[in-house]
Amino acid sequence: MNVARKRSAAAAVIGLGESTFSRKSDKTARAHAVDACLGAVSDAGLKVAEIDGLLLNRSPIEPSSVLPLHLKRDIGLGDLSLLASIEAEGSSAIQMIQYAALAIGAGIVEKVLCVFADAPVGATGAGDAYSISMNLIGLDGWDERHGLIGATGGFALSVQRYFHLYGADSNALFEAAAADREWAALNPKAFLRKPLAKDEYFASRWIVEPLRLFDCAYPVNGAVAVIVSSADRATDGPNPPVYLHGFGQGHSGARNFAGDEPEIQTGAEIAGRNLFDGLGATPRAFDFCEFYNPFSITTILALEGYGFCKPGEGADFIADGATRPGGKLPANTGGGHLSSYYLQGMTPVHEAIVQIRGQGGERQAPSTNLGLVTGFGGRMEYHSAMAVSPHRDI
Amino acid sequence: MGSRLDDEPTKDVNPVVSEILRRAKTGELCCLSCAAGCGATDYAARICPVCGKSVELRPVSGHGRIHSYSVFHTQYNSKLPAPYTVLLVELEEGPRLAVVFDGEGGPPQKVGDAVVFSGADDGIVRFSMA
Repeated sequence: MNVARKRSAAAAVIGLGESTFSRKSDKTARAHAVDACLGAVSDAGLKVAEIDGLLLNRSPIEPSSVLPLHLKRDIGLGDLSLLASIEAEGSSAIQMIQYAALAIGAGIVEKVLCVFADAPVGATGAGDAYSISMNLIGLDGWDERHGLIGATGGFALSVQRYFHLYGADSNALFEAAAADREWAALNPKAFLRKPLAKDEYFASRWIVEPLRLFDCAYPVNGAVAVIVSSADRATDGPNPPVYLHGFGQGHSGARNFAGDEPEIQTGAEIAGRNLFDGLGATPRAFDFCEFYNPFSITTILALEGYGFCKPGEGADFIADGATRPGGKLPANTGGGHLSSYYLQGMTPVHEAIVQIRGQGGERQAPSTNLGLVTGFGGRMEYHSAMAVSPHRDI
Repeated sequence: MGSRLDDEPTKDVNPVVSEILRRAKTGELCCLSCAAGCGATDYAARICPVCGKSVELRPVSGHGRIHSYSVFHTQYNSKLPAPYTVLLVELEEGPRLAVVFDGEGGPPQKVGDAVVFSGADDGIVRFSMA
């Protein structure tokens, strides 16, 4: 940890709650959200009546009725000073925490509950849930008409472009997927814990070529909630606070036009600059990273976009062991989206909290003075990032 | 297969899309271009990104290069049996458009290959190797 400007955090995460994570369609997202919220309140050592703010984040592919403002009533909340649903695709979870911290800093609220819940896994798996019409080109209905379906379709184009620009191939994706699996082996809550053999990876079926099954996130039904508090009151609870030292959003303006590379210029570099400039830090200040990584390529793009290595060098960085257990920059320490579980922006947030609290067990990173957590959504467009620490003053 | 995506894709609520498809079926591919003469822009633009004036449809040559591509192994639409290849084509005028590759079974395509508009009879814009 080495930041140019000494700083003291104004807000912290003081509570973490989760529902059961399930591959069965036995509960609604809303019911999972209730479990996670009540868990977070209990984890923080609070009473429900002490919560005065609620921020909700549903999956962007679900209607608002899945996680309505009336969740407030489900968990027995009283009068609130802050209530909103935040929707900025995969960047939403960190945005919720950012807006909670800003509202606390502005003095309008004291304890904000932030929850994400989703139940994409149905009777036939989760594939149908994600076979959605998106809009990469910018013409309503065009992509769907031309068979360009789902986020997987968009990221497959990103992979192919990356391969072309840097001379990489599927071995790069394998390294990213296998590294996540090494961490998952150490995480009792991860769903895919068996080491990923190279032949198994290459034998796995195409989802959208060049993305194979093991390049894609492992969806579960469930919810994660956190409670954000002022730093002044953060040590009242039973668990170590996770201090929030800075945020950065970055939403790419790259167009689908000659000269731009929207497949590679994802907004990570903007979010990183905003975060790092605010901290007076460089990427070297961070001890570990929890990336939003729904596809193997996204860890590679994040390592490059946030400046941990040069463009085109992300896969070698992973292959050389830097991000793996025992490496100099542990990343996706719970197994990430590919191998632990996919609850969108809350997967990396949850794991960062576990690490900062020192509750990682076998997968605990050796140094956690400063961690980077990211959110990444849309089709290579929307980024959010935050810096977390067990220390109020850095 | 097809649980959310009906065989007949979403109605083209955007009149620009309807007009692009109508003209493409007659053999004329169009892009969005500044009405005041700044040139072609991307298909997401609703005003010219250079001067802020309106954009309008203008015919393009139909020639371009593969910017990226992906192969879908699931059938979502009766007109597109799997596997099928989606090309992200960079038109020589600059805009990039997602189209279906017309030429399955032929030599494999690569990023950078020259391609050409080959028709849109069934309402799906297709490109083949140039």
